Amino acid sequence: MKRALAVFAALAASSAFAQQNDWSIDLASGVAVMEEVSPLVFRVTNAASSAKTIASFTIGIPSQPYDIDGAVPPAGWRASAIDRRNRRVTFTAMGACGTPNTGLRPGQSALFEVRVLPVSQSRDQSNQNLDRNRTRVVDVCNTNANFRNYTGSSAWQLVGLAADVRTSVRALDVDDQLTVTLTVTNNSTATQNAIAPAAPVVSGTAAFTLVSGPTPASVSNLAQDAVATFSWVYRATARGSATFAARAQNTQVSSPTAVSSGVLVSAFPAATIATPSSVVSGGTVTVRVLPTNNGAETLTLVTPLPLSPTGPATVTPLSGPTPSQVDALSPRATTAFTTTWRVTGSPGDHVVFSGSVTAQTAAGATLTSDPVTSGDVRIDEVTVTASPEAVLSGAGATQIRYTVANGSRQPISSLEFIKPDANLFRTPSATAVPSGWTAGTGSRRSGISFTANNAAAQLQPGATQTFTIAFTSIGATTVNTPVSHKVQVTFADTTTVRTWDVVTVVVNRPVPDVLLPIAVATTGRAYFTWSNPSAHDGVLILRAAGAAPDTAPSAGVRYPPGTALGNATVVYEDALSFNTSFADTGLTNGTRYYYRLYNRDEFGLYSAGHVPAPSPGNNLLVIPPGTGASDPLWCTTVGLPALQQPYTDLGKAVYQSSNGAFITGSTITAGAPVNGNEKWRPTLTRGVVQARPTALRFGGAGEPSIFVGDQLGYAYRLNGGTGAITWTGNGGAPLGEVIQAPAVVAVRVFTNAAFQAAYADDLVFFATRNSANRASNSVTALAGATGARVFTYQPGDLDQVTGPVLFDYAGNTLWIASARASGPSLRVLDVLNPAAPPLLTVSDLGDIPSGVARNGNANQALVVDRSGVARAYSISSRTPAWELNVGGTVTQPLVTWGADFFVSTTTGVQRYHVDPGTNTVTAVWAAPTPLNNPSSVRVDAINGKLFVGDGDGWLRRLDAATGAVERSVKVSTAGGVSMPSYDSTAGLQRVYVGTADGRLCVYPSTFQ
Amino acid sequence: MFIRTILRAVIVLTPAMLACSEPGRHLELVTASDVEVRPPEPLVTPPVLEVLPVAPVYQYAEPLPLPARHVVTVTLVPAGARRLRDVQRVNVDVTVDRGAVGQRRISAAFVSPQGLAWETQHATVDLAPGGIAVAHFSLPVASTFIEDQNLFGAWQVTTLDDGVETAAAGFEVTP
Repeated sequence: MKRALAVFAALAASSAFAQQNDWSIDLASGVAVMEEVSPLVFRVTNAASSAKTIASFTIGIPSQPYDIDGAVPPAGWRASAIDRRNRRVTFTAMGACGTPNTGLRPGQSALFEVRVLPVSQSRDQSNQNLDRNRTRVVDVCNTNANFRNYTGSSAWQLVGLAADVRTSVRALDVDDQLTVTLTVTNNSTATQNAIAPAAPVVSGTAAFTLVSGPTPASVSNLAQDAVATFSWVYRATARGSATFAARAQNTQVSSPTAVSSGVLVSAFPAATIATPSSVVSGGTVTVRVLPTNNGAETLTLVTPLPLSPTGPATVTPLSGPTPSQVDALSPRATTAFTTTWRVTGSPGDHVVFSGSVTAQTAAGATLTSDPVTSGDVRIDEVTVTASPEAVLSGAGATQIRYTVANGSRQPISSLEFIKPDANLFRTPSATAVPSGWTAGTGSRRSGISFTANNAAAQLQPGATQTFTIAFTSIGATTVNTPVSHKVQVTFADTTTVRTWDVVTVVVNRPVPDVLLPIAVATTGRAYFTWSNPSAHDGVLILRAAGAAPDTAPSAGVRYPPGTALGNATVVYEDALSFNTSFADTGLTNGTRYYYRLYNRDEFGLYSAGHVPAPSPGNNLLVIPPGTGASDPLWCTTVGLPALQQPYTDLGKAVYQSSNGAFITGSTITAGAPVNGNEKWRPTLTRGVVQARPTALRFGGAGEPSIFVGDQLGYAYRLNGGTGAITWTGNGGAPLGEVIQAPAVVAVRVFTNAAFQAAYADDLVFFATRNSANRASNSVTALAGATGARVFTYQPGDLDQVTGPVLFDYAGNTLWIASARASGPSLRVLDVLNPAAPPLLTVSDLGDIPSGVARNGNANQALVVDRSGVARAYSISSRTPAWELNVGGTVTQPLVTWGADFFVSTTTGVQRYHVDPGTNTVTAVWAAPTPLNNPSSVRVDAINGKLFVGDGDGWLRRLDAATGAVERSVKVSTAGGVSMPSYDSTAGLQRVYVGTADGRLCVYPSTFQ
Repeated sequence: MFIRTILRAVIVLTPAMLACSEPGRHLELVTASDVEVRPPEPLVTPPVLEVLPVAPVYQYAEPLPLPARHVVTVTLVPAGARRLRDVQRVNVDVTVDRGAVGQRRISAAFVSPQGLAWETQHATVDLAPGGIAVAHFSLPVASTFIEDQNLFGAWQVTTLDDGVETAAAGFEVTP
């Protein structure tokens, strides 16, 4: 009896004690979306008044209308049982019973995630809640931890619309636009009308203004499983980062608020992309860091910094980064650094990556890019990867391959591909059914099912299998529309999970071309370089012999190398690549090959191939040279007229500008391999450059500085070592309408004391060719170091200046020759007092398009007007010395050589000798050498030879003594060639000439 | 699920009810004022009202934009000039309407009489809904390589809208 009383007392005490154990469950976040795996996060709290620790508990989900997909415990816990059949999840603390930090002690709480898969209803449902009878604390430690029913606000909402928000770009700069797209899928069982979006909420430090949208304002008649898209266009107005959150609804159904990935507005952003977004544990993820140079100058030594993975999943680096460094990144170009990682963990674990790079500016400063974090990479029990990931809006018959990876512990016995939007993905049917599997009609919304015929055929843990579904056609959309392709997976034990991948229906849209493609032709070989825009996945290069490629690639189609496309052959193709060079070898020397480059974006859309220009002559012409005496050593091709005289940095490099509005630098090699590979990626100018580059080395610098103006009136100084623009003169403002004349530099260290007292810097003179008001032309002196304007000579009667001016170091005078629609066409300015009237004005001459030349032997300034009247003036006294009619139209600059000078008229070339004592001028050759529209000559003073290009595309070598044509080679069959340059370096002796068909060719001076 | 039913009136027996002969089932006539009863199990699963597969046709509240349109006006400056020496510049004004709203990149590609691409110029316009914009381009001629190379004859200018060829025009200069 006593013992019975003791037991009773103990039970009573135990019972009384149990009454003090309370716990609560509150919904921390989450909305259940019909037919979508939806994470619900619950905050579980052990009441402070409890006497016991919670070491294990079970959450019961109502069986109607939910399935359980999975669960994610907090640190120190595990999902010890996921009972899909009975819709319950048991979480258990990982420590041993009684260990102080095991479980939830009184007063503690933690977040537990349960992923549910709700089946469809006709409309939204509120107050969805846990199954109270099956949600309870488990006394796993046998401590009589009897807890009462939980309290708290654990209810959630079940909604019928799935939502997805994406932005057209993830990295941009101020004034750039982006499109925000909200895609909603009607997962309810009813057709929905009047679905309208709420205006996106922009959160973050970046600022945007709405340009247009939403488009459309609402959508009706949206059937079950159908998708609709709403889009807005925004313009970035301030730098920073931001996200866009959007949702849609009608009176029956709504979507959760979906948030876009982060968008960065920056001058130097680096987006990080991790693919695929879903892996089984142990799977491999490829991470690409994509820096974009939104600035105006080329960045160099672009180097990736170590990646920062964040999240509960464990990641292990496998390879990369590849490449480890990129030499240069042109403005508006993007490059990529690729690493691969192994991801391990439990289903539901996830990780994001954030990467950044450093780069050097022209001034030597180090820039660090602003990082853009990747999307989530999650670990799933089963993953499906769709290929292709994008299909073209309105496409015909299309097959999609779904590769299923089984990362679970159970074999997969059947799969059901739930039919996506029937309007977009029309009439699916199974095709190429794997051996051992049978295709049929699924039970859920008439999907396509694949069932293993027997246990041996089931998809075993760790294995993958590809299933293919054919669609009769793809519907039309007006904006890119991501559509979730869901797969219901049934394991051998009859439990199920849901997995999915996104296939985007893309609208054919303009895709930017590759930037600045250059080809270098050498014997049997063509070497290409280009830069990639940010909207990029790969490049396609076509080659045709004898004629330009006549067929463009089709959107969504990949063409392996060797594929015939019209009259052309695919010679290069890549994907998921930011490669920027390719060598096409095995070419036949002398054959005219026409190449065209196409950029392809992530959706498989191709650019128009409008590089170098949208025209019938749009191609890169490559003629591999042979090894004969008439063959060039190499030719570079930019595809647009390059008729300026190249500038040769003797023995080191050659610089050329073209109508492509960029300047190139090519290396010079003396021995094999002889080529003209890029010294740096071309430097973009704002306008076309037709002025010869003026290059000087200052203070023993290892690399020259290059001064040049463009046809939009901008003046530049470039670093010859890197191609970077050191400055755009006059504070970035144009000096006039057009700069056609080459720049002239007064190098201060060579000037006299008076100049050095007046100016603390070199002066760079740029003259204008204004045509709207021809009397408004000017000559501006810019500071050599900074490009700041020092003075402008704009008298109000100066006509166009298209030839070089002459700076006289002894007298500090500037000789300016111009056209003469107004005012005199020759004037001499006192540089020390530019505001004063000119020291000399000459109105007797007509237009002088060819500038002023200096005869050093006689210390005379030489000018010749368009009609062929040449005059010389004493530079020191500014008095006339002599006058001569050379008998022809002259537009090319005079070239002086000792006491002699050469004149190129439109019909030939003549050499004249000036007797400095008598100022008599005599023709040296018996007669002018007849040539059609020749350029100015380039003198080989050592060997007494002249090089000249003509209007028929010939490069000629003349004997300087007689004018006889000794050598001729046809450089171009399409138009003329430029004034040549000559490199007299011992062992080189090469001649450089530009062509109207967009090439720069290099010949040995002994060409035949 | 139970339904709370209040029976207050005389129950009328219908022929169907009286004809019920299922074993084990019988009718109880109850006159109590407040009883709770389980509804009879349906003998046949009631038809589920399914939504008919309505053809999912998009119905946009706003019409799709019409294709972009360019009207190209070419002017040789100064007026009346035709010779290479005299033509200072060729102005190309592209009036842009329709198409997408917002920023668009308009390009003018000049092709020489020899059929070679000469140069491409770009401008950005900002189009308001229903609005028009004009992109200006200018090609210098006299005292440039065009004159140097004697590129007289029929020139062509092609305009592009965000990279899509949209219109073309021509002009001619004489020697």
